[in-house]
Amino acid sequence: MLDNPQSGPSNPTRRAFHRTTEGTAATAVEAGREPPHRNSIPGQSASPAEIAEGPNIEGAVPITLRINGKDCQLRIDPRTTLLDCIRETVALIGTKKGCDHGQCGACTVHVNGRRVNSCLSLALMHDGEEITTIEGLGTPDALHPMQAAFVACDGYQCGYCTSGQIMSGVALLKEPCGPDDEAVKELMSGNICRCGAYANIVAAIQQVRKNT
Amino acid sequence: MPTTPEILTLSPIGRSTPRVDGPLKVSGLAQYTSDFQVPGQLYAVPVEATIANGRVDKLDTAAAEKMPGVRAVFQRENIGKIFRSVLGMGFEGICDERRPPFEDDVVRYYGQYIALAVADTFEAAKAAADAVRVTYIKDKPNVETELKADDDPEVVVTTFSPRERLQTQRGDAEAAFASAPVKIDQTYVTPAETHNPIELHATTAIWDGSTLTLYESSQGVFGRSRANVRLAERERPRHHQVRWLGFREQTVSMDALFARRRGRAATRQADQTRGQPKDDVPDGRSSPAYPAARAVGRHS
Amino acid sequence: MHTFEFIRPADSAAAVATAAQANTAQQGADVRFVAGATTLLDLMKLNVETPARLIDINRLPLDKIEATPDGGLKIGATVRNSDLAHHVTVQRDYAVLSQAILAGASAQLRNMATTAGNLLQRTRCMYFRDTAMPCNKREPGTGCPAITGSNRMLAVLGASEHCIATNPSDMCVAMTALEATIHVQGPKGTRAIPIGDFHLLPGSTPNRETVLEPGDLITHVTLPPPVAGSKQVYLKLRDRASYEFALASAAVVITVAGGKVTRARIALGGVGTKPWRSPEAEAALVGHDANEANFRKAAEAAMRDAKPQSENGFKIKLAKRCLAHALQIATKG
Repeated sequence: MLDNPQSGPSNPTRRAFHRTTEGTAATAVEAGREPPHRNSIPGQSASPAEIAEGPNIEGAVPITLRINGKDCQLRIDPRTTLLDCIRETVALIGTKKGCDHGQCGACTVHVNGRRVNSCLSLALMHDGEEITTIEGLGTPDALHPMQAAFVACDGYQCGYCTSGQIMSGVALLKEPCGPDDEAVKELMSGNICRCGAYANIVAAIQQVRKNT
Repeated sequence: MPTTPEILTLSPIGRSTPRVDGPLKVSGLAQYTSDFQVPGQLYAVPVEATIANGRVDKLDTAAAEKMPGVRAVFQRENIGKIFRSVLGMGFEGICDERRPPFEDDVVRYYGQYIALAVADTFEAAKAAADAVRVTYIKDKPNVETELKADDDPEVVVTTFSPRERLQTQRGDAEAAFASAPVKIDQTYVTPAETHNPIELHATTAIWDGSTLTLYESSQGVFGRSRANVRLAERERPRHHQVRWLGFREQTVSMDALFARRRGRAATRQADQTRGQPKDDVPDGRSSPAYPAARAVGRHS
Repeated sequence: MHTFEFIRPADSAAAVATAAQANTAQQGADVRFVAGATTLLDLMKLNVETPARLIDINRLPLDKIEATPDGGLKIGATVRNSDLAHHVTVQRDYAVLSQAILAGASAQLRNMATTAGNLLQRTRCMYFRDTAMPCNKREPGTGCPAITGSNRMLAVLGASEHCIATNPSDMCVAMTALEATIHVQGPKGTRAIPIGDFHLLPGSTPNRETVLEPGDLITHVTLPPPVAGSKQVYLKLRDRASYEFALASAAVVITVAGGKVTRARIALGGVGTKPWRSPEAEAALVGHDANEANFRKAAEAAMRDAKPQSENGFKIKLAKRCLAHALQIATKG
């Protein structure tokens, strides 16, 4: 449904883009009143463990996850998937929930260096293990080569599948994979892109493989 | 338009231009609807009808309400009044579903929201939603491959406004076809397609006692904003602020309505059970913890 | 999801002792082993599986691939599917197994899924996966809505009037053609189960899918020594080129000498209620010339008892062509 601002009243609501990186302009809807609900970035402000001051959960169990190099001591409902733990408990929202059943790949993270669907794993199964999320690969000021290649090759439209695609692509660099596009497509078949940016995603991955 | 060399170098047409949001999207910093979080927020998961047509006969939320972490289970009996949006001109006031949620006990499609479980965590809310027991009186759904109107009205209601059905007429198509030397009369059928972006439907609502902030995904950013403001203002006097920040993609007015209602119910309960909000949020800045709630939908 | 107690046992004996308290090892178990969790969590989210206790076996020493004294291979229960598929010995001597695993799921899932988990993979039947629907496998006696409903992906071999659900595993089909043995440690000791005897036909008890009893822990799988000169192919046919379950698949392990088939092991996937060994096809091949006409005859024999449902009759022809084509690739390619 197309929305034409000209057809509305004279003062349409202005959109505020929440940027959580330093130095990027944020257009506030009202001067001096920014909504106090930006996510903290681990490393920039508090550590993820401090964010995980959750509600009092009945039957909560303690676990430690080493996420992007930082130990996070958490208390979670045992039913919490690794995905929901990363997103809700630790508030690292770069990893996305798409289908919650291991079919779309948007939730792809690395556990001990290997790509997995975090939605189909329980957080407490990974007590003591190393988890890498998209935030751990790089930042806008210091992009991982795969992240930079996605920008250069325009490997996204809406961007929702992008974290999962990049985490998958980075893992693929260390897996046995034939040289041609067909081989990359086969190994990336666990990541879907509803916007259809596949050609550019493959191009980005191949560009990194060529330069590595 | 003149194509001087200066204009050519300035124009983005034909040039590969990286997107400004690219670095944010590739580093996981671009925030989508369900990425906005407030400490202490609640989670709401809908109970969806498992029949395609009929009525809800019995809805038993007793077990769900007693589960750990559950704050409330909303349904028709206890959701209170939800106002309709009045259709105006153009896109004014459009909600994708005309009926407010829970308006009656009629089930019009599979997956229709019939209750909403609100809890401290997603796991508790989902378990509570799954624990709601529903019995239905089933009707036969209309799954005909062709839809025909029962009548032949002169005025029809469209998305935008009531319209005269016959708006322009020119020539005589039937006669022209009948007298044509070559006639091709063929029916082509394409399968129904639903546009389902990967991003999940969700609304995050934050109520601080005077301002309601809604995060929601929508392709109709301005229209959605105005509709939500109108609906919310009916529930509160005009002098309270309603602010809405929306982005892209699908419109889910259902979720927004729930989020608002559930956000306020959560506030009441928070006041009763938790006392004053805390002054510190963990990121080091000092500001009140705003009661917030997120309604989490599923793909249609 | 129902809540549960999470247990990490110190060793296999402790795991077995805890699991022995389960009401059943079949559908409805109140105690479950968890390894990769890809099937189990999927079903727990749907409330199809509701275990009150989960026993995590990931940290038990069951994750090795080793040679056996007789020249075969021993594969630990918690070996990840991807590691198994890429193992140098498997690729060289048991190529059909590597091909089958790599034809299944996605890279992420293959990194999580384990040998034991894949042996116990559950059907994708949409009625089984939907607790709002009746299902004899989930709740015996409630009926099978698939038989009169949507059944395009379901079985044409091994079905009963109670259940027509397909077994979706690729790995099991290859292991069947390789005549794998499944080793189980249970409350009363250890035992070895030929894979052909491991999975059960639905019959009148579709809720029972394997011969496992409470406490039975799969510890490893053994493969017999590779047959010298055998050719191995896994061919999978499906709606998409990747990341989709089989409509029909075939695993062939075949030896040809002097233009004649001297040995054949044939298994089919996507068409049976269990991984489908085909002695009929094998008998039609052995001793005969290895040519296309005989491959087609063998395929006919394999599907002779196939029974179509309302939407999956195409699988019968598809499976015949799949098997004939796989044999062609194995012997000529």
